[in-house]
Amino acid sequence: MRAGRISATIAVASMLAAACGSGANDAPVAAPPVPATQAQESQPAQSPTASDSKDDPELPLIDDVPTDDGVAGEGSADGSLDESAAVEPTSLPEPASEPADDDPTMAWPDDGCSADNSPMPAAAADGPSPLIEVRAESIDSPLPDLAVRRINCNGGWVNLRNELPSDQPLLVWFWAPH
Amino acid sequence: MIGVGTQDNGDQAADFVVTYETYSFPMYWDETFVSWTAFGVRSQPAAALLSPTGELLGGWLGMFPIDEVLDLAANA
Repeated sequence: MRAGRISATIAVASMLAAACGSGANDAPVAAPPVPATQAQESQPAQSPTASDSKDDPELPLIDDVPTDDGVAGEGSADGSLDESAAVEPTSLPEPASEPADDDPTMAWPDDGCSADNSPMPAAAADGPSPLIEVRAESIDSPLPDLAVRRINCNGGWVNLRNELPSDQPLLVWFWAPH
Repeated sequence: MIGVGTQDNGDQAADFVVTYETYSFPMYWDETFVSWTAFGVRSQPAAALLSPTGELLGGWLGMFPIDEVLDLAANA
């Protein structure tokens, strides 16, 4: 189960990196969100190399994004992006090893997600944002204390701050529907 | 892995999940942008890798490099 979940997630991540990894419709970034160990210009989905997008025409700005920098630049040496460090799409590596499925310490949360990435209903939860308490162990989580709508898996609402701490690293992928 | 989307509306967000078949990990939608501004994200896609205790291990604008993400995660 766990192995299938990991494979499915990595496969989807690979697809996202290749297909959804474009920011063709989005704004240039004024400040790096996090240490930009690898960064690249927004680029069309069909041209996944950084150099392809250098001459892109002006991209539309995201007008609604607040300008508060939050934790921008934390951990970054100089706060600038190394645009030359663009990363070519890579083939999907095989995991070196995976923990046994019956290892109780490595259990996945019961979030209702699809182990094999098979389709399931997708809909944003309705209604106003509810108050969801932060777990005691999540008080110091760097994620914002914010109720968000879960579109897939079990649906409903989740407090982002409660995603950490976890028993494994967490990749947060920022996306937009358009 | 979690997906944190914003902008547009919930129906479009759901369409995105269906179109790109992201069913194996939670996909969230936040109409407030708070989730993005907390990390200084002003364009998409972007990604941040956090340790189990919340330390920032890496961040990327545009496509994230899967090999590097897996390597960082394995050594976290």
